[in-house]
Amino acid sequence: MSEQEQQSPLVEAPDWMVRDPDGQIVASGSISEGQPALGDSGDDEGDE
Amino acid sequence: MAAIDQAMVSKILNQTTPTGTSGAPGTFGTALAGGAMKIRLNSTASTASAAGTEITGTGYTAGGTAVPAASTASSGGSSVTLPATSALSWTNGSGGSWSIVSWDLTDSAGTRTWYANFNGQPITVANGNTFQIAVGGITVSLT
Repeated sequence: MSEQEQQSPLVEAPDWMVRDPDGQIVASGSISEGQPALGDSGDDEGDE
Repeated sequence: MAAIDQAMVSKILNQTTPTGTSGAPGTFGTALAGGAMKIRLNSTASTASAAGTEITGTGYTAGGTAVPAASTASSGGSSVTLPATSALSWTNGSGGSWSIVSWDLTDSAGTRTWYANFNGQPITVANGNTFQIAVGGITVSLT
């Protein structure tokens, strides 16, 4: 194979942010994972 | 990802199982209010049984902030993300810092449906700073 597959960049936008009065982001993060919602789907194994 | 309020779990189960008369589907009970749903912010953790303690002060309206628009409806079991179209923002004018731990999604009358704690909580929002939940920052799924 002469060409490498181009992979999508693994850049995730933050789910929450704290901005200062100038609009600069001073903190950010993600929304946490919730526990299984209804019943046990049983398919939460990792993709390693 | 979000977790579901335990009362909402019962509503969904009762509506979709033979808990009604003579084995018919049961009832959902009181329907959710028809206005725009809201996100409320809390200074303590939310659990399946109870919302956290809501933050207070200038810049935050008790009961939470209405979502800006309709989210794309679930289809084929897909998740629903919110807020749609624009971020939710709260600028702290309380004179002190906010400490934000969790959020709850409620109907316009305050009935809770989903909740979660923020990763990185407690999040400190100094006076004058703005806390935002990005477009699509919250994902709700039943699978």
